[in-house]
Amino acid sequence: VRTILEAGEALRTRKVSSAELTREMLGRIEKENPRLNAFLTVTPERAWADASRADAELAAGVDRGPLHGIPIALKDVFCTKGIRTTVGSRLFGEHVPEVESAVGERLAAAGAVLLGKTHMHELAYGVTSNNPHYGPVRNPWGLDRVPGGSSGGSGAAVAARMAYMAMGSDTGGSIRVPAAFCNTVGLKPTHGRVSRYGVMPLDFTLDHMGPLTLTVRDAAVCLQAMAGADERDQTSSRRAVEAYVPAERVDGRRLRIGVPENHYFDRLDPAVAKAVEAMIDLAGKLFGSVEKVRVPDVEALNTVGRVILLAEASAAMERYFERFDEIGADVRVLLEQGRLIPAADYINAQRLRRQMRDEFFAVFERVDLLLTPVTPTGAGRIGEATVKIGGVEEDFRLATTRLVRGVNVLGIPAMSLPCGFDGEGMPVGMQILGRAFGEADVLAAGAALEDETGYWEREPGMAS
Amino acid sequence: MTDWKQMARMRGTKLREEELDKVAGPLEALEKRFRELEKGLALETEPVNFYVVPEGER
Repeated sequence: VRTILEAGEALRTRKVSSAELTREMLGRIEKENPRLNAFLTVTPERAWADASRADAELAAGVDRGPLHGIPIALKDVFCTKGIRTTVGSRLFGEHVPEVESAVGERLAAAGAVLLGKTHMHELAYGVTSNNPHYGPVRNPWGLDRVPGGSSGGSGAAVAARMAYMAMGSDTGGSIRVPAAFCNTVGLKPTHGRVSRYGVMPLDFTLDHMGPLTLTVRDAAVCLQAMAGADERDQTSSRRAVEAYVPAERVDGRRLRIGVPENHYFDRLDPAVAKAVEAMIDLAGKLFGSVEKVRVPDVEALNTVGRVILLAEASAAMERYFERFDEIGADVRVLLEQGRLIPAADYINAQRLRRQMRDEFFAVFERVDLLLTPVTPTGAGRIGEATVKIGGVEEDFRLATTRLVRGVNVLGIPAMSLPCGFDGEGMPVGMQILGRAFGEADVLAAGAALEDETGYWEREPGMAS
Repeated sequence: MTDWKQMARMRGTKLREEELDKVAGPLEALEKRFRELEKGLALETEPVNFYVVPEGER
């Protein structure tokens, strides 16, 4: 039983109980977490209570849907009532929230079993999950490698089969990067599709919440459970929630696929380019045609995104300024940078955002989806601040986010899909971008490609 | 261009001098690119204020 859908079928045919699924996951956490550091807090008592209730309800004929009885985890940025929520920082080391996040509430209402809280980059502000306070999260595909971030614990937990789903948050790639580095699916929905209520904000206009799972259909099942309006989040959309779970056999011939001819394939590790191009060839066969398209200046979009993120993150954290010395060096520098962004620059960044969004949305009048790499390289080694690509040395954080950051400025849905491995055996992800609220198309295309490739089935050897 | 280190000091930074280099360097590069982009702004362009969801759908 590897996926949510497989586990659901086994539960409904009484081949397994939620308690047995929970026991297996807690056993894997006990075995693997000392090496991976993917969980900050494990909640066995809560998990046993949730599983016991799920089994009793199923026995009584009460079925809450595909997540009923399924063990999952929440990134430690989601507030959990009565359970410590650290946000990966000493600032919140003893923080026990009095509220539950909207996502946590909806997953519980869908019958999910909470295993615990996953580890992360401090304050969700970085891509390595190399945390100075609680230790680094390690990548199951290479224990000396980063799992990506900021939702690194979620990526590692799902890849190592320690949870059927782990929630992530994504402000500039923090769901998609760990998904790509850990060989999982990572879905960042449209801004406003999933409530941000009860999630510690890194940023006000770039934060998105979404699942990391082994398969696309599992991600769809999770989105189905958590999507929809929430009055407590002022950016939450009232738009009707569509049916997201792809059919058993997807006919994707109606989908118009675009591949950017500029920016996205510049300065890539050749192995990443090869893996993504192979997936694009497959898309051509499955969907009929793939069109080369020119996209607006993504470097400019990234620049605007960085100005907005720096300013908003520092605004969110300004109340803790007197305690900045308790924050790790990398995040402290970013927060200091944000405090210096002039108001006029922030406003002009939001003006440029409108202009660029209009330009980018015009691309989606020609195509339904864009296919791109997620990151220019596979996972780097823990502690390395730079990466060399094609003989050019780049800052690891900026290189790792240059294909994903702009998407948060646009607010459109994006998914990372496993698409192969680099020359060192590290996973590679392909990014599928859709128009606003086009999650169903993103998931359908991803499921069709996944059905033909099955990269998710490969398990990490966890070699050092 | 902006003297970011001086600005940080004026805002009461708690960072050490050597850390201020890490603050200033990336901001200098960011500012250079951003100033170019600002030149392309049309006067009538308003800031984004509702991101993706059309106002009528909220």
